[in-house]
Amino acid sequence: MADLLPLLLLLPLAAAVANGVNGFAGGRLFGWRTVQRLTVGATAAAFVCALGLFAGVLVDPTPRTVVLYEWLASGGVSIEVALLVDTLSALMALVVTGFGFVIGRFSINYMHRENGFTRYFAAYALFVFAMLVLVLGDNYVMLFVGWEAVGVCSYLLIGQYLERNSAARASTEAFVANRVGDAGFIVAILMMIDAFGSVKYADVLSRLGSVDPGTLTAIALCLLLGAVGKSAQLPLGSWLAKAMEGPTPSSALIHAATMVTAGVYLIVRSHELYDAAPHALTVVALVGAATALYGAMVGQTVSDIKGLLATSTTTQLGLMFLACGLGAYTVAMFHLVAHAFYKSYLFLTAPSILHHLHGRLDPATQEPRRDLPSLYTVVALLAGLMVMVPLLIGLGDGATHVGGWTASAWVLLAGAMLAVASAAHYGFMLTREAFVHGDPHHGAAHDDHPHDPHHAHDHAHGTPRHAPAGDQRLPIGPVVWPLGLVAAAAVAGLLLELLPGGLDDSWFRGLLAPVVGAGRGSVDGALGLRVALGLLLVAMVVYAWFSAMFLTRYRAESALGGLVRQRQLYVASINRFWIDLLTRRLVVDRVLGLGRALDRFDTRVIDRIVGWPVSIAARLGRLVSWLDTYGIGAAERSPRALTSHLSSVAALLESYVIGGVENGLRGLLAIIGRAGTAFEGVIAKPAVAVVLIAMVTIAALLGVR
Amino acid sequence: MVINEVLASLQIGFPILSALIWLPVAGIALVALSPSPVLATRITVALALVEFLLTLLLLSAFKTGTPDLQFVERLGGIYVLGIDGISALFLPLTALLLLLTCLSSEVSSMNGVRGYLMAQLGFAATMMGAFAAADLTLFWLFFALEIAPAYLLIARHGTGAERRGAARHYLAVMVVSSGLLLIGLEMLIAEAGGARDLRTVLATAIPAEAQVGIFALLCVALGIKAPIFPLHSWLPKVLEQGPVVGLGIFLVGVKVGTYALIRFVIAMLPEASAQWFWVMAGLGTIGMVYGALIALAQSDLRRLLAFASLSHMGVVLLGLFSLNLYGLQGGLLQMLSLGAAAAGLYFIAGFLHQRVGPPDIGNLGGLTTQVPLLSLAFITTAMAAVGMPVTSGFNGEHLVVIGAYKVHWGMAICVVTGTVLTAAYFLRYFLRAFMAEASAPGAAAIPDLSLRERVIMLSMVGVVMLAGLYTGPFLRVVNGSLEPMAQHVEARVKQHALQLPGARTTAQAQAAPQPSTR
Repeated sequence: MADLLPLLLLLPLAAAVANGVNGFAGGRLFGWRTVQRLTVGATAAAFVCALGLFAGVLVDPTPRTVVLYEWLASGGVSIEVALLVDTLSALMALVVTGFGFVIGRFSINYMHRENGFTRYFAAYALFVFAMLVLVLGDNYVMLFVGWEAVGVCSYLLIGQYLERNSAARASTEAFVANRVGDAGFIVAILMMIDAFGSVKYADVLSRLGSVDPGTLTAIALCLLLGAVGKSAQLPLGSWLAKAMEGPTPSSALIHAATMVTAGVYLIVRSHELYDAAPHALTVVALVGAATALYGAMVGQTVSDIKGLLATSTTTQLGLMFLACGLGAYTVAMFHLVAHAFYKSYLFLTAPSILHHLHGRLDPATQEPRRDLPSLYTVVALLAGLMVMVPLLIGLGDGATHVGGWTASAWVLLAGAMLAVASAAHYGFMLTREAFVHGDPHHGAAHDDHPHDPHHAHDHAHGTPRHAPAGDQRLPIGPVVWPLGLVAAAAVAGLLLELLPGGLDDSWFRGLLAPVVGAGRGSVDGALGLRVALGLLLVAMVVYAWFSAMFLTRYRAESALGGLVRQRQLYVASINRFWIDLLTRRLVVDRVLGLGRALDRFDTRVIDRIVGWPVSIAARLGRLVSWLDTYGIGAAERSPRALTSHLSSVAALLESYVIGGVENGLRGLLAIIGRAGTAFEGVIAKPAVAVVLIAMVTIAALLGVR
Repeated sequence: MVINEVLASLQIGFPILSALIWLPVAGIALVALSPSPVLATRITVALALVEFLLTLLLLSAFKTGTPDLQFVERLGGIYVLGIDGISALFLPLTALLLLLTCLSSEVSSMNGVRGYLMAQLGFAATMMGAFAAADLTLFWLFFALEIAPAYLLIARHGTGAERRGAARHYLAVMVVSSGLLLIGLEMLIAEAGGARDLRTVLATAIPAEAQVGIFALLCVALGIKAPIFPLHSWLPKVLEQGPVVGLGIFLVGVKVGTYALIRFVIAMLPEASAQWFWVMAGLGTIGMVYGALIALAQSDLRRLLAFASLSHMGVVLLGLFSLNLYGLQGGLLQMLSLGAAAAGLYFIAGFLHQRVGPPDIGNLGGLTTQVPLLSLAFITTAMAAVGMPVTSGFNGEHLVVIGAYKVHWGMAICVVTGTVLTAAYFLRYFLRAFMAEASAPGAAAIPDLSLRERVIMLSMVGVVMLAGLYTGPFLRVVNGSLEPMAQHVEARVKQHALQLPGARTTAQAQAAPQPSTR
């Protein structure tokens, strides 16, 4: 089945290249119909290939490597362009191409007659290709190549609406945040090269014993930094909510078809490394738990559908990381796949709901249900699924798998509870916003401006709507029967032994067993980390209970604001815990200020100090330019004039050189004086700047011994 | 280090290196004699095309896997030419940039076209000479001669109001640089027993105690040219005030400085390099972060590129003075790829200049919708400079990081920080200049890339991606020379019981199981 591999990869690439060339030629090569047919056809064919690949893996789960060519070889380390097919990568390829195809088909309608149609589909096909490289690569460099390429594609997709300034900002921020994570990834790769002499998964993960644990922990933490950037975990997570600026199907692609879950894939792929580095593993759990809690709390105050979906992704990703950090890799993978299903569905239904609300709904009637029966069912169903999924995967595993540390079972339970609470909240919010509340000027109607800070701000300082009672409570009836359907599906799944996926003897675990193996099964690591993790989990449980009991039942949007005592929490939540603001104030502004200060320093000080030969030679230079203008002209005019010019040149030279040296010395002293004052001026203002330069210098000097 | 030589007559049948140097010189005469500027432009483009094809021929006949000096010509005296793996790749790049620069449409619509073309050809000739020279004095001669056409280009064909000031600044600084270089090279020649020949000097062991002085002189001289951190003041001035099109080639021209650092400093003065590498690596680190931070605050693309070049030069310097194979390879690859990427971006600055005047943020905006192709070309080339995969910047950067890590992890962290900043300043510029709303709403619509400009940008992107996807062949060309050199440096250093940077980690890495060396 490995024969399908080149086809699987080349089809989306070919579509991307064709669309790209067409776009570069101004769309003259073929029309928009061909563009969409090409892209969707290529992803559909790739999906069929991935199915074949997956079937092949089901028959024979032995990992296979296909080496295409040697990319570069240097001093004993050889980096190959090679692909790896095992159950994990085949599963991921299936998810990528499957959702790639569905979302691609959807994009045809969504992007119809939009500007940049060809550009969108070129970036789209490239995205699918990059994701395939990411999941099918045989070594960390290949993974990184796909990783970076996906980053570029998401940059293009988020910035799709070129005429919108906010989209440009969002895409830039997403790229730079990703790049910070990538820096960690690069360091991890080179530490691997240094420690293991290879970047192949098989080599690295089999040579773990020969390297000291400190190095392993460092490598694992650097990889984690990369995963944090890509998967929008704390503290690099703020780009994800803003990334909603892209067209909705591209958001679906980023959220569902695994770009943000690439971090989870990375950790699962290198789980042996994390098992050997327990401190790092605990940090993974900590990051995940913190992000999940953050996402859940921020989600309470988000007031529009797309924003809700974004924060719910944050929560879900946090839970996946938490599962990884607790050693339950299969659970994380199952969660990943399930999340892809329901999140892509929610994303793809969101725009049509909004479309209906914008187009057909009369705000006065508030009775849209009859207009949208099918949509309503679907969304309610999926919302219900969102509630159920963590239960189905988490509880089963919590009971049986994580047995090493006594508290582990309820640790995972905490995660599940939080997920349920927040997912229930989202579910209620969605159905409510869309079908019950239904006010297009409020909340749900923010399709194009999902995260509108002014809007949020108004609520923060406006009169919070206290929820009296009665009609402000959610009508729970319409949500119950879809839940029942989901439960029925779950029971069917149970009977088919597909669910719960996390159980020891489940089919899913059996599928991934050749790659993921048994896992660590206990929480280890430094005491401080464990205590922090425990506290965080307790906080999650408390919050989940609190939220379910007191907040969600009331009018959802003013949930936290509804109770006066939670005012602070509400403000924190609506400001996203000021993480964005802090990043801007503490990092971005400082760096920019430093750049500007250095620029002034460069023109005022360095130019003068280093430019001393210039001031001395200025006269000589003027002489040359004189020769340049007059000398050449004179030479052209007449040879006699030339001789007279030459004699005056000699005279000039004499006076210039003597005068130049004198003036130069005098000028030099003056310049040193001026440079001193200028230098002082620079030092006095951005003292931080100079300290930082000094620190960099010292670090460089100390660093190189 | 003992290397052999292969004569050009045996290898290819005609003196190809001389042809590469003298063809542009003949071109100068032809252009001077040609009756009309249009004809002069055509002659130059034709010559540049021939030149480029010749360099491709050269590359195809080049033997990889050997440190030998190839295509050697000896005419007596100092006229000794020959190339090896270190210099081989610079020749095609120079020729390609000459071709693209001459193709650029501004040439045909500019005043004083002939003078411009002559200066451009002269510049190309001296650069070819500097890369092809296999004699220390001949190298110096070309190095010094290069100043003249460059000065003329800036002073006469610059676009800035202060172009004369910038040209004078350049001239003064470069005179100091070449003066110091001359003294340094003469001292080196004296220590080598009067031999000027590259091969002989390489084969002679320069006494370690004599090396330090020469090292300092050469580093300052080449540091001005490169430019290295505190000596860079001329570059922003020149790039801002100089001609908008002609300087693409310039950005490769400055690579002569780092090229000479490999050629004369690291290869010939290994003990001094091993002893003082931290000064150069430290300056590289500072320059990298310093340049990137300043670039972040720039609003003019040309000035931004100057500081970006400074930052990139820091990366190259760090790689080279890691003094191990990874670092040397990475440094050399970065020189080539960043030269190409920076030149590509400078071309874009030129295109913008033609359309709206100085490429300052204040003049720009809304470009992604108005000129999508130009925007795409910018972002693609910028991604190469940032070091995205499938561009050559990716591989070069990684090799440098590995090399630096072998010396100390702190250095590697600095390089990686530099890459984050690089992404930040290029994307920030793109955001503010291309994606932001147009600041002057009434401005006339500007045209997108013309066919000729598309050819130029496609070839730049093509070079960068070719080197990124097929790095193997590129590395094979340079490895023939770099591997023996790295071993030579190590052997010489061990002989003097000095410690090579990162000796501990190197030993560790060797203990780890490794696949076979290629």
